[in-house]
This record gives sequence, C-alpha cells and structure tokens, in this order.
Amino acid sequence: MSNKIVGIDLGTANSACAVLQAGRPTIVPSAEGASLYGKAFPSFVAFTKDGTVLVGEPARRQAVSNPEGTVYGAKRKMGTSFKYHVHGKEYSPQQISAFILQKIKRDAEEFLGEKVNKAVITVPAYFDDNQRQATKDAGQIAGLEVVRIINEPTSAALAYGLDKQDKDSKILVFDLGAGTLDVTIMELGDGVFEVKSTSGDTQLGGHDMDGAIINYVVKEFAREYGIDLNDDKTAIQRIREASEKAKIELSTVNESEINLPFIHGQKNLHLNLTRSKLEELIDPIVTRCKKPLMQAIKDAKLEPKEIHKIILVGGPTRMPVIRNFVENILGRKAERGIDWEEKLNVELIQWNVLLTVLQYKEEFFLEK
Amino acid sequence: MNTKQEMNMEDKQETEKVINEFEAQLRIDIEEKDKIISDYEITMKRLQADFDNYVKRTQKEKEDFAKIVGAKILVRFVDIADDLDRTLSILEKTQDNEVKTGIKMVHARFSKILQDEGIKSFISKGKKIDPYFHEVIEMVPSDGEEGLIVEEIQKGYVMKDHILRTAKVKVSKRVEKK
Repeated sequence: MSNKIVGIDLGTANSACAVLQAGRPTIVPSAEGASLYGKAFPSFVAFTKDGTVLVGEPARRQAVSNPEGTVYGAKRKMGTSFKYHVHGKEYSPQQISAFILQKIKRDAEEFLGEKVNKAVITVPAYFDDNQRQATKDAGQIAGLEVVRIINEPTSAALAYGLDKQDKDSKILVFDLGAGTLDVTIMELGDGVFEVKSTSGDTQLGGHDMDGAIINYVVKEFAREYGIDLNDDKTAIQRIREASEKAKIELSTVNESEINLPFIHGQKNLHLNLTRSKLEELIDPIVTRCKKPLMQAIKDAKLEPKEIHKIILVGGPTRMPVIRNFVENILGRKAERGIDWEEKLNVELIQWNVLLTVLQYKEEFFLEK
Repeated sequence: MNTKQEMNMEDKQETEKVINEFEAQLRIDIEEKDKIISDYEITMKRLQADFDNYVKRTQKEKEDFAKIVGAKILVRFVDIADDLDRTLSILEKTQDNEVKTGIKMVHARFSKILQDEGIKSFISKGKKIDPYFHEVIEMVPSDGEEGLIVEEIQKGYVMKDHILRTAKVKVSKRVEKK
C-alpha cells in the first residue's frame, strides 16, 4: 500500500494540496486547472437537479445559476450540528468537506500515478476539539487517514524553519487572505508551538480591496462621462479583472495602467493608478486590521515589543502597505522570503507552508 | 593435574571467554549494520520509487510544457481578440470605409494567428449551461426554458482539446407570466 502523504489546506474559500516528490515539495494541481493555472480547489460543492455532484471549480462556476444546490464555506460550520438541505437530502458540514477532500484525493492520485491514502490537514488555531474531530471525520469519509491535524499558523512557522531556533520565542502570524484575517500569537519552547491567543475578522480581505478599486474606477468614469457603469455587468466584470491585475502589479511597481477600450458604447476607460492612490483607497481596510492585531497582543498579555518574530501569510500581505502597517505597529521587520517560493511560482504562500510541513515532518508522520 | 596443566586450562577458558565476548560483540555489530543496511534499503527503495515517478512526470511535464507556456501567453492575447471584436462592432456604425477595412484586416490577421495555434472561440448563446465551459455571472428572468445561456459577457476559447478560457455568461431564470 502506498505510504504517500499529502498535505491539505482545507480552506473556507479555496483548498490546496501538496506532496513530497523525491524530497522536493510539489503542488498538486486540480484537474481543471492543470493545463493552465494549476490553481487551488475552490471549496464549493454543487448538486444539480439531474443528480450530478460537482466539486471545486465547476461547482463555483455554476453557483449563481444554482444557489439552492450549491454549498460553500462549509468550514465555518465544521463541528456544529448544522445540516445543509439540498434537493430533499441532508448533508453535514463534514460530508460537504469530504466531497472536497475526495476530489483532492482523486486529482492527487491522477497527478502522482499512485494511490493516496494518508493526509495531513491544516486547521485554524482557534478550532476546538469538535471542529478538529469533524475535520478528521471528513477525511475518513473521503477515504483518507488523517495522520495529523496541524494549526495553520504552526505550519506557517514551520515553513520559515522557526522550530529550528535555539532560543524560545514569541511569534505573531498575520494571515490575511481573500476574505478573512486571522491573527495568532504562539510561543515556541523546546520545538513545541503553544498558541497564546487568536483574533481576526471573518469579513476582511483582498476582496474588499478589489471592491474599493472597482468603486474608484466606476466613480472616475462617472465623473468624466456622467455614466454609471454599476448596472452594466459586462463592464463591471472587465473592471474587476483589470483592478485585480493592477492591485497585484502595484506590489512591485509604482504605477499601473487600466486600459479598457469601448467599456460603454464608444467610450474608453483609461486610468493611471499609482501605488499611493491604491494605498489611499484601501486605507480603511488596512485600518480595520488594527483592532484584531492589537486584540491578539492584548489577549496574549504581551506588549508589541515582546513579539520576536512576525510571519505574514496570504496574497494581500505581499502589498508593501500591509507589510509596513504590521511592521510599524510591532516595531520590527517581518520574516522574509522562503527561497523556493519563487521557483514554484505559486499564488498562495499557504501552499508552501504545507509543503514545508511535509518536508520537515514526513518521518515524524510516518511513525504515527 | 599439575600447575602447568591448570594454567593451560585457565588460559583456554580465558581465550574462550574473550572469543565468546568478541563473537557476541560481532553479532551486535552485525545486527546494527543489518539495521543500517535495511534502513538504507528502505530509503533507497522509496527514493527509487519517487525517482521513477519523477522521471515519468518530468517526461509528461516536458511534453506539456511548451503547450502550457504557449497557452499562458495566448490566453492574454485572447483579451486583445475581445477588444478587436468590440472595435469591429463599433466600426460598423462609422462611415469611414478605409478605416473600417483596415481594422477588419487587423482583426483577420490576428484571428489567423489564434487559428494557427489551434485556438478558437466557442458559441455559448442558446446552449444549456455547462460548468466545464461556462461561468454564470447573472441570472436573467425569462418566460422560456430555464438554464439557457441568453448572453455572453465574455467569449470562451478552447485550444485544441483544452479549455483556454471559460465563457462568462448570463443564464435564463424562468419566471411565470402573470
């Protein structure tokens, strides 16, 4: 029987999977994304009226047309007695998560050319025993032996090799994703991470930033031409894609152009977006990060200066404004660069996190 | 038994004891070495299996690589194809035939490049929604059949047997006439 262990980040919006290959960490692409993007697995499960079950990207694509048959965000309900009622059937959050894990298992087996029976799954540090058990159950339903449940911030710390430090230290993990912020403070002693406090905001992330840029672009267009693009879905869709690209580009350059010819009839949309303008637009979002950050420090009964290491996780933390914001509050620089991050060209640092967990700990997991 | 014989016997016993101890130590050493060899064997087998898979996958990746890299660039060109389509539809309203013909030629040349690379758009309007080809952006009330694509917000493209870009579409939602 295969002993291959995969690492799974079972996320609220997206999930991801990684595996060690000849000692090298490798990302498992989803079957739909393999040809081009190799992106994560959207955490969507859909039941169509004709009885088909769709999981991941196809389920996400049809969500608007099948809202009553589409389930997402099941992670938020894990460990509760909540039941999803779809087309007369009842599903627990574990069963929904199991569909996602099954899909990941299948795509991993296809990618590796061998059976996959074991997995390490990461969960938020604030997950209680019920939520952790529910995650394990989901794995079991999917035919996976969950050899370990790991805290997401712990796996981030492992990715930066912080468990290999000689001296004990206090670590703050600031994880800002597409839709949520999680702040965790951990204390490392004798190679063991102890969670001191957790805080966050379940409605704050990169999507809010995209929204702020889109609003600005639409307003600028209305100011110039007196036309409101909000009712034009096609225009908004184009602006959304262009805004997201500009946001990512502005992490490395100071100015980005948004050019959308014939956005409305014969009218063109041309806009120069500078990094400082972007920072002004997202300032309210950045400011909202302060409360959870300070709360975590307070709950850990620490002063900002007592934090020894800062780890930033998630796409939006690549923005200099976010990095500077956290570094300024804590009065020290965040940890930088995992060298193979660039080589793998992955979108989410969380994936690397998983990879490294496996890299460091595979022997350990095998013994269990 | 004389003293000499006694001494020989003691020597012999001593020698046997040393030999036994030596043998015991040797056994322990051999067992340890066996364990090391066995560990190496397991590691080697695992690495060998990993390596075999790695070679297989590398071979496949090599074959896919050019295709994927090409597709990554081409999917960006598809955005320009959209812009050219829009330009053409706007041009239909102008009177300047020379400009119209010129832009049409640009459009034709560009379409030819995509075609040569095996890229073609697919028609979604009027079809049933298929989540492997379409992404639903909006539902539109209709008194006709439900789940039909009524409008393409963004055209979808395929490259040979791969989906290069899914189409973004509006889909009918059945509303009974009052």
